[in-house]
Amino acid sequence: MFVIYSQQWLLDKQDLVRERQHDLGILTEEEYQKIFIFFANCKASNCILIQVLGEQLKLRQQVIATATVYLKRFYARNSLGCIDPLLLAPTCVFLASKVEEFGVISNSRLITTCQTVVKNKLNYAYSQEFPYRTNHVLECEFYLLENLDCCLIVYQPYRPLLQLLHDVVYAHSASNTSSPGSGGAGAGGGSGSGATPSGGSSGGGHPSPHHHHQHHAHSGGPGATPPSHPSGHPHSSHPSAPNSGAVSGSGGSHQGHGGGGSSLGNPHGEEQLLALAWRVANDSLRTDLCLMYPPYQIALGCLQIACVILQRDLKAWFAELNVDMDKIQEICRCLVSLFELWKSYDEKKDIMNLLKKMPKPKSQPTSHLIPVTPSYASLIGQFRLIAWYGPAFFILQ
Amino acid sequence: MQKYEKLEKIGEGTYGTVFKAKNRETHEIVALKRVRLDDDDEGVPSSALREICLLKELKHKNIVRLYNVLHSDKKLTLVFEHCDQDLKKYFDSLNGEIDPDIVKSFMYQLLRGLAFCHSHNVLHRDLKPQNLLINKNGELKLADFGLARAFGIPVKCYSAEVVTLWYRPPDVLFGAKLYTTSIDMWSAGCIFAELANAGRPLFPGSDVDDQLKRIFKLLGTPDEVSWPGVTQLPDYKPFPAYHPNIGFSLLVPKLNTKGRDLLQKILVCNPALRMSAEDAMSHFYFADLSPTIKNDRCL
Repeated sequence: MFVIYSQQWLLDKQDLVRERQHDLGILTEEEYQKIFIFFANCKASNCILIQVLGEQLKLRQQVIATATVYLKRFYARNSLGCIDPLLLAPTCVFLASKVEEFGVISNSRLITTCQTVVKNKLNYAYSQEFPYRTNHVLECEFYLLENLDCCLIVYQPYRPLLQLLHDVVYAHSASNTSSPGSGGAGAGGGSGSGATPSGGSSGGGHPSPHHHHQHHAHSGGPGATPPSHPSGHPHSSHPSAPNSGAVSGSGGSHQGHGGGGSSLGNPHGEEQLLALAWRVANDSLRTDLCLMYPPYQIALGCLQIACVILQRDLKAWFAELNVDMDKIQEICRCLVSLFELWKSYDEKKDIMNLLKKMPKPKSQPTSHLIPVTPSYASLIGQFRLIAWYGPAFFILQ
Repeated sequence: MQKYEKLEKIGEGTYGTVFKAKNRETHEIVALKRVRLDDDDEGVPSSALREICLLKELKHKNIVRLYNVLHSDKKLTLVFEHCDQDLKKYFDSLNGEIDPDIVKSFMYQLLRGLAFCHSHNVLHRDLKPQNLLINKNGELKLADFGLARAFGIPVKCYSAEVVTLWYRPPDVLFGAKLYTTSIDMWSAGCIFAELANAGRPLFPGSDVDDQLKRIFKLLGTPDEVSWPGVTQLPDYKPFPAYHPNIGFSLLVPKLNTKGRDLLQKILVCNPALRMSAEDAMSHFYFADLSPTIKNDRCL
């Protein structure tokens, strides 16, 4: 298996804590996380900025995932007060759509979509209309490019996940053993939708490895299902429970990643396993995992969570992998704590206060100026040299 | 920008003007590619973004080096290593004669750059003599990655209209949407023949039909036997069943038999049977390649 990723953007926990010191003086760690869930992705309310923009603009999941990673990388090195996330999030979508060769979204269409979304879907969080215009996005794109150090290719856990699942299937067919528990007690995996969270109440639908009977109810949204996934349900899966932890996965029309999965078949419920692991991978974007671990490790963590939920025993298979299992356990713990956070988080209720508390850029764009912080001014004032780092390529197995 | 003194305009790239310039401190000569941002609906053009992010991953002797990206208010300038000329201009200076050792050396370097791209999951998609740069030391470098893309992430189809017609493979001419590294290999084959003929293009077609006709007249019209699936391609249309009557020996008279063998293995209509860059590098045509080139440190 050939796995590549850019090592330049792998940070460790200490880096993150240090970089966030300023913001964490104002917000608690949990509040900080919640703000990111709001801007980067979705949960109960089925609508958070990048995700909703993606749905409105009918983007592929790949674009959404890349945009989300840009956002996270930016704020891993900058305070929330540096640039308003309400401006940076659409800018990330704009940049990602070009890099992923999705086809350019026109800037004006982006702005119009933002206005609609803020007005109609995020009105519980914003009482005013979307304040930015195309020139803000263009300036912000420059700033974003520079802060990302022009590292724009983002590798996601989806592809390694497909490869791993292929390997699982192969291992199975080779040893010809069937695994216990492949029925997957009640988990929503195979049928994909997980229509109603068993917990009904807000946030109750999130999976926890300790409660495998629960539905894994939230999916990542457009095209958030693996390619082998039978299309058709995503729509029905949607908000059968209003204001609950139901899925945001609206987009049957959006595609995930082409290829690969369909040949998987369903020999031992592996398709179910894949579908579930895939959604856990979508969820991983709401955590710091993409900043700290390479995609194939995240994929393994997601797979392990899916195994626990579906009571699939792949211990022997995991044992044969040449990977650092401590890392995989760290990833699993991080995902579990995300699910725990969701249980107690009512976004619609909390977000307005959180946004009030969030550090802000010193100037708001009433004057049609991008919020410029001193550091930005000094950055563009001088022609900053961008250091190039060597690419780092790793081979697994 | 004060860091560089502009010397002269070198040309127009896919998305902006290219200047030759001198670093005022180090006196190093570089090429500055100014990215136009005039269409403010698109922001930084996607071709520039692709070039930036791909070249950032690709550091190799046979790939033009991106030293730096300069941001100034509203402008983006890419700083590249400077090369003296491109292969097209080099051809023009030849007067129809080329040293066979140079042909071999350039072809090997082209394949080596390409093999590196392909091993890093990057397709160039727009290989042509204008995009191959040459410096005084006889080094050849792939440039202009504006149309390149990383193919590590599967996408359903790439945008049509990507390769200059003359270097476009028959599968793409028939509208194939899911192509692979084989697209670059076809272009490399065409360039190989052009090198051997000191700059006479192999298939200078005037439109898609003419392009395909020229190819099939040389290689024979493909059918479901030689190329399973060809008739299913989106823009497939039947052509007369040409049987090749001009041999490669007439086509590239100055290329030796080993070279012709290599050319024939690269110029295969069926993309699945086209030789890879890696394999081509170990073809016996290169057996007597000068060791200084073969043993270059490339990274």
